[in-house]
Amino acid sequence: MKKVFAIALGILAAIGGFVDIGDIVFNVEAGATFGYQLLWAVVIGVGGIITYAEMCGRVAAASERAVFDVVRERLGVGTGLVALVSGQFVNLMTLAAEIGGIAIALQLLSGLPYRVLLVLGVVALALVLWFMPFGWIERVFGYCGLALLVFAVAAIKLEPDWGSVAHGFVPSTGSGDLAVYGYFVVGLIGAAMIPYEVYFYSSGAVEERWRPKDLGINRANVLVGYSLGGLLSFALMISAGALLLPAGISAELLGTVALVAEVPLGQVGLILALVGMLFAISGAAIDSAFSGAYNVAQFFGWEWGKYRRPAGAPRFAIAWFVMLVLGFLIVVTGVDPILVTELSVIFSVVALPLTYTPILLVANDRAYMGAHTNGRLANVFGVFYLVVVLVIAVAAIPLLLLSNMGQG
Amino acid sequence: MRRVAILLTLATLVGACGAPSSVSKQAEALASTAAEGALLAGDVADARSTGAFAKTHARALLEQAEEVRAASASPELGSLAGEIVSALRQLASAPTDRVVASEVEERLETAAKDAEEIEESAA
Repeated sequence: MKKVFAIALGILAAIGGFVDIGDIVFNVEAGATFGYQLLWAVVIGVGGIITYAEMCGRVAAASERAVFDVVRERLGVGTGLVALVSGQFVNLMTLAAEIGGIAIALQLLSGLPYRVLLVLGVVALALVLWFMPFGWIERVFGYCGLALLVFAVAAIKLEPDWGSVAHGFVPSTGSGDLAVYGYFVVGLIGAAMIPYEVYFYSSGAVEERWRPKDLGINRANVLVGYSLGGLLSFALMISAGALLLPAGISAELLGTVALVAEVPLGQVGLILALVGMLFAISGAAIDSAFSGAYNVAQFFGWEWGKYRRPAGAPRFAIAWFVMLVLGFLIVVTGVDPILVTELSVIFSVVALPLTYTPILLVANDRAYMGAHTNGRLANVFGVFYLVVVLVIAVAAIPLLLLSNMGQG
Repeated sequence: MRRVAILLTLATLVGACGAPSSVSKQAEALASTAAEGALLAGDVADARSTGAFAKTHARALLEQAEEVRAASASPELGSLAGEIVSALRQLASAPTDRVVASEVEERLETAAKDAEEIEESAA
């Protein structure tokens, strides 16, 4: 029974962390622009996050320390600080995008003014972060986010050409504008491997007091959780490819995503899609706010942890509160949350090597890992994905410019 | 070099925020907005949407069409954008009226076809 509950950590990470506003935006835009041709890029991204989240969980279980704790010690203060600053910048942009996304989802549900809902949304997030126990956050946001499975039903109901869908899992250079295609490849892999997911996952594992005996749970979490996240990504892209591409509709609004469920499934589909988006985006906002606080607290050696009361870890509590306020201030200026989402994903891609290189180094360090050092399989995947991450990090900004942010 | 890269990035981002500038891109954007508006209106006409969603999403689409109208590259596009704005405004102000939605659906389907024709002739 305890193992079943432990897997909830993976489900939260998958729904609230994996399927966030970045995944929703990039998968639906990619489906609307290229149909099913980019499904293979989601597979690459899911494989990458499974590989590195498993390593992070194993590092946490073996060393009882989270990523940034180890990064500072392993890489030194200078390099660690660069990783911290870039990680925090990306975390903040992601959080701003998620806060904007929450307000839009609430507006689509209620019809109330966007700015009022921005305030309500951020206050609700603060209350959840302050009062709700970790276990409840996992359950409420993880399980309600599962309403996004409505897109799997929508994808089936829209009767896509399954032969073309299957063909989309084979890597190709695609048809159409190569720069736009490359931009979406980078965005899809980046959205799947966005850094705050592993920061949150490893810190959560330390909070849950994982030990080497929990390594089975770690593997189950990443495989079940992130695979489920990957299935939702496939569903989003397939349903957008089946509905929006033939109609010549580009997906530049969150409402368009909800419309993809409404057209085949009516009001029930619409409401499930909006509720799923609301909880998945809120869960991701919580993850990214906590990630920001975890990183800074671990780097500077402060007391940290959701399991501690705010009075027991005051600087940690202040850190997530400041993240929340800054994220709110960014979106309250009126900047388009979808634009912030795309930028946060592309800039996170640039920062990916700084996140994943230290994890691979530490997972191979016997001084930290003892008998749980990376095996051959973990290293084959780890090195492969490090190369992928380096390539897309170099390509991200040029593709952003050449593709005019995917608009051709 | 780094400064040039930052400036180029910022210039691209600023450019990407607004409406597209060429006739074919503007026509493509209008065709997309009109087609999406027609789908939404069709769902309202069939009582398959909610009032809050229809109102909010119609307004968001309306803003997209307004952006193109404000920067329209030809009088023909400006007039088409105006027609799309007018239809979407009608839907946003009566988001549960099935009769209005049915009319709006027809207007937007026609507008989407017109936009596609302009796009093809400009290409």
